[in-house]
Order: sequence, then structure tokens, then C-alpha cells
Amino acid sequence: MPRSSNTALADATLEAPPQPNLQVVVPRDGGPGGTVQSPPVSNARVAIAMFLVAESMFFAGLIGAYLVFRVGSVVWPPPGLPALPLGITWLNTIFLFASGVTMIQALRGIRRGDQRALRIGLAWTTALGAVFVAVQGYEWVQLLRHGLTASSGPYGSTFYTLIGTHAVHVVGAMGWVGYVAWMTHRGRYSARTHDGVEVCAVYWLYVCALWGILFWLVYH
Amino acid sequence: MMPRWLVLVVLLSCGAALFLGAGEAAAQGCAMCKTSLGGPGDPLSNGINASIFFMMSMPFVLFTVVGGWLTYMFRKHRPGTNTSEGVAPRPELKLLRAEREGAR
Repeated sequence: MPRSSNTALADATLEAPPQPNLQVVVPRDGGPGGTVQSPPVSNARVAIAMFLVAESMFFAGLIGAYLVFRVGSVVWPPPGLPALPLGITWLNTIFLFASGVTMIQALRGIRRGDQRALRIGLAWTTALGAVFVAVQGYEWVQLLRHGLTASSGPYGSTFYTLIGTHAVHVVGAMGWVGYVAWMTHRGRYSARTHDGVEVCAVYWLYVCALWGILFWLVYH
Repeated sequence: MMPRWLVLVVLLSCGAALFLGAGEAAAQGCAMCKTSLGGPGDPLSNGINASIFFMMSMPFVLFTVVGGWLTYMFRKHRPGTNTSEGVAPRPELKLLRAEREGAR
């Protein structure tokens, strides 16, 4: 009677030399072998870096267009159009940079596990951002009353495009901060897990730094 | 073989000669620019030059910043090197031999 294939396989397995089953074991939580290695850069950080690179190139295009008209004009601002208000914008710049400081304080708070510091920092950041946008809206109304519109030539169109785009980014960042505050209220973040706060803080600080460049470029 | 510093000097010199030599002909590279702009003294030509140089520099700036940041982060977290939190531990590898009968 011929032997079945299953029987032949079983015999071959029994006759084969023993093969060790090798496993790589990485002890967790401070075991004798150490801890699990986290990646050098988290996915969230890489994502926000790529996003900010794209944002930078977008604003570089707008600034490049502005430079064509600004450097290419003999007189700037053109005759008959109002100069941009410097004093109130300096004050507004201080408000926005202060919001950057409160965002850093919020981030430092959650890094040491202080939920209250995170909540207070986010609230101040949102409030100062809202003040910045409100003051800028007031400034725009005044400029429109003085005859500077988007159709007033390159001076008006580049101003409203550049500053308006930045204002939209500030409003978007405020929405993001609001979302982070809501997630904080739900207990999402801790001293160990707060990538959401970190990327939000990076974006907010980017918007603040971008304003510094635009303010120096457009208002001076 | 040339020493590394000499290679660096030669490369930098070639790059500087390339850019400095092309300064006079900036924004004159294409036919449209050449016909529509008034030359080096034209304000619009200066504006376009400034814009071109600014936008040309941005990819290099961004690449340097992001590349430098990634390099710093990877060097900082390399196992066995000093970090701000002390020496990063190397994960210990253990070889376990499963029981032959258990594996079945």
C-alpha cells in the first residue's frame, strides 16, 4: 500500500535537524534591554514640515510678484494713494508676536503635563490672534475709505493679496488652535502624547514669523 | 588625489565666476524679457531681477533648513550617541529558541 503524501511529509519533518525559532525581542518600558526606540522624527512633524515648505513656496510666489512692482517702481507708494499706517500695525505686530509667546508657554505646559497651562496658553493665543485680525480689519476699512482698493493698481492689489492671504492663514490657524483646545478639553493630550499641540504650535509660530517678514517688506 | 579643501575652493570659485559673470545679463535670458524690458537701467528690469533672485533662492533655503533639521534630529537620536536625555540605549536583541514540540 503506497504511503500517503501527508505521512511522507511528517517523516521528513521528524528527520530534519531542529531549527531554532528566532525572534527579536525588544523589551518595553525600561526592561533590562532598554526601551523601544521612537523614530527620530514623528510622522506629524514630517507632515507639518512638508506643509510649511509648500506654504513657503506659495508666499514666495506672492512676494516675488510684489518685488517686481515694488523694486520696479520709481515712486512707492504711487502718487495719490495713501501710505500704509505704520503705528497701529506696529501695535498689531506686538499682539501677534505676544500670541507666539503664549503658544510657546502652552507647549511648554503640556510637555511637563500641565493641562491648565495648556488651556490658558491656547486661550490667550486665540484671543490675541482675534485681536490681530480685528485690528487688521479696522485698518483695511480705513484704507478703503482713503481710496486704496484692490483695483488701485499694483500698490493696492499686491497689498491686499499679500496681507489678505496672511490674514486668512491667521484665521485658519485660530481654527486649528480652537480644535486643539477642544481636544485638550476632552483629555486628548498628555506629557507623553502631544504631537497635535506641537504641530499646531509650529504652524502658529510660522504664521507669526511670516508676518514679521511681510511687515518689514510691505510696510517699510 | 586633490585634497578636500582644494576641491571645495575650486568648486566655490567656479560657482562664484558663474554667478558674478552672469550678473550683467540678469533677466535678459529669454527673448520676451529682452524685448519688453529696457535693460539694466530700467526700474522694471531691476524689479524682475530682484524677484527672480528671490524666488531662485527659496528652494535652496528651504532645502537647507529642512535637510539641516532632519540631519540634526537623526544624529541626535542615533542609538548609542549622547542626547539631551543621556546616552540613547541600544535595544538588546534576544534570541529565543522555541520549543520544538511547542512550535508544532
